[in-house]
Amino acid sequence: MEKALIALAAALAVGVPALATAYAQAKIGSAGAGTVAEKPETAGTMIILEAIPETMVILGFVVAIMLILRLA
Amino acid sequence: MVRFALWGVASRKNELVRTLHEMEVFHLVASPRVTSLPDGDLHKTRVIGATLLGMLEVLSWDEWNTLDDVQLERARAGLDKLTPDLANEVERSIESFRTRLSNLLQEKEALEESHRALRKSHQITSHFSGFLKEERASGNEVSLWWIVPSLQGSLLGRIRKVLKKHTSVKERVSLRYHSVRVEKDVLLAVSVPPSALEEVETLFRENGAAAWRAPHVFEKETPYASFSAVEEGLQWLPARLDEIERELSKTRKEWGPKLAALFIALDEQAEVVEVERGLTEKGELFFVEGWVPGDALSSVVSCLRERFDRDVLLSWRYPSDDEWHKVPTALSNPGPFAPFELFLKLLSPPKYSGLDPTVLIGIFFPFFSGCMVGDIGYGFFIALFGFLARRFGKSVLVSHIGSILYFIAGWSIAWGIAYGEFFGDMGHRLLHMRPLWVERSEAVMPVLVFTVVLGLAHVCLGHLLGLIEGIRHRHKHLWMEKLGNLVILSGLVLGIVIFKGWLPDKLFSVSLSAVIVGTVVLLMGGGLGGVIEYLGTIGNVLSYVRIGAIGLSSAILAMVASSFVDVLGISILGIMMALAMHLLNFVLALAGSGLHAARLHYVEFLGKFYVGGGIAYRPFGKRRSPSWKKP
Repeated sequence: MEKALIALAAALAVGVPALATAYAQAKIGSAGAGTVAEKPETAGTMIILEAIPETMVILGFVVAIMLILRLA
Repeated sequence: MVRFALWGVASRKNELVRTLHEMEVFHLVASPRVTSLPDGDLHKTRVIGATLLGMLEVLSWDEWNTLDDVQLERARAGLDKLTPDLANEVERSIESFRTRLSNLLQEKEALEESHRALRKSHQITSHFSGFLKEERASGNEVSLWWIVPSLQGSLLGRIRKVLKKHTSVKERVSLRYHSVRVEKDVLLAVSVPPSALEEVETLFRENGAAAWRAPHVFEKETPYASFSAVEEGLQWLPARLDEIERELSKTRKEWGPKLAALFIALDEQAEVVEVERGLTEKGELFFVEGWVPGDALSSVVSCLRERFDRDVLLSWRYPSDDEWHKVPTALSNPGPFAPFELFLKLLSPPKYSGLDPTVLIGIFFPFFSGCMVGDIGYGFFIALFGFLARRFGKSVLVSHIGSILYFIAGWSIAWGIAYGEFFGDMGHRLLHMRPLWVERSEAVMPVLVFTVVLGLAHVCLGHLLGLIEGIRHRHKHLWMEKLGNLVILSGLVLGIVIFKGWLPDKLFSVSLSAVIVGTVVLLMGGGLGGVIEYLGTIGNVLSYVRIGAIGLSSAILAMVASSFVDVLGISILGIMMALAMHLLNFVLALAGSGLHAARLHYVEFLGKFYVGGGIAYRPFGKRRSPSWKKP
């Protein structure tokens, strides 16, 4: 039971930020696509901006790893 | 950069401007008149340039990087001196070419329109072709009408009555018709004897029906003739369209580079003329000034003195402190690091007195990226891509990307040795490779801690550079803010070390004092905003954990790829699955590592000290230098 709860916690630690990241990237992506259509020279900047919300899921992933390694 | 001023005799103005253009080092300081010169021939040149661009657009030619230097030089030689007569001649030639191109495109457009209409028409009429042939063979006439579905029954009844009038009891046969439902309407074909045709058609018209017609050009006297014309059209129209497309493709290939070269040459000439006319003149003298890179000064001076001797007066000086903001910035980095100047293309150039971070990016970017990839096999493939980009790349950009890939490949191999990875755990399985440091799929925490420490060092370096910049520019708030950040970070690190038991507890007061002093300095420098930025700094440091996290996912995916061979055996399926997985992982590793390493630089590192807002150095010269050759 304890292991199952740890696994659930780890899944939530990755899953919830992943949803948030996906939402943010969808918003940035659509705005970025519009910007690049108007100004193709901003493509590089837009790719970088698209990567910014990934911090959430990466930190979530690290938390999940720590949960599994430390507690399981 | 050196501020360079030049006075010359007006009679040699044109010659001198062209000499400056050939030198390609002089960054002109625009005089107010330069921007207000839409006079006669110059305006015409601009219009011709715009026409050329329009034609290239119409031809769908966009291969500026492949433009041959020979063609460019030929175009430049042809327009050596842009006289009004030459401009007129060029305009006439272009106009004639444009007309021919326009006719061809118009024909293509009209044919495409006809083709669409024909196909649509044929989709409907194909249902009637058999009926039409049969009825024609029996000597009847076929009439084809669009009707409202609800009228079909009553109309057919009335046509039968008409037929009864025109045929004897002996000849009488049942009414032959064929109908197809098309969206909301019905297309009805009825077969009637020629004598009854007129009356039947009148009947249709009286009931609000519309006669079927073939697309304009293919409309004939009878439906059968129109059907035949539509079918014939569907044979020759695509053939003619293919012919036009081939002709356009040939024109694009042959004329695209020529028109592009002509556009560049014209644009250069227009700029030269614009500069000539925009120079400040006083009686018999004219004046021009701008910026010249310090290392090119002696060659500029000797060249001008050699060619113009006493006809020019030269003067130069180094910029004073109060005009640094006007000085253009030219990036100049050692050869291996020059490709990393690419990263500053996404930002505004650094100020002349500011710091150029290219070398630091050149050191840390491939290091971080390689740390994420961390695989010897992948490293060799990245090097291969780098080689291909440098060998076959048709632009400076691609060549520079190739050079950057070499750096990433080097660090990927180095980190691969540290982690003992060669296509995941294949090195361990086949060659009994052992990690030089740790196996990152097993020892997760040490790698994550290492990346955070790496981030701490990188962020501290950013703050340190910000501190130096603040002191250099006597920007009190800036250096105090950076100093405060550094002191707090040092205090926190000391606190963690004490907490871990690596240093005696009595040093905790030092740690606490550092945090307090740092906070006070931070508040004095940046106020409450500085404190908020400090919290952001902690987030920035933690953000570097992505290096370990992405690396870990890459390592695990590589192991999963190799395990396909265990599960499916050494079979074609097993090997193909393993290769496909490795390919996916390689693409993800390369794209992810590059993207995230770039992000760490743009967001976490450069934000601490980089101040853009500089003026890019744009030497007055050729639009595209022929000096660049494939390495």
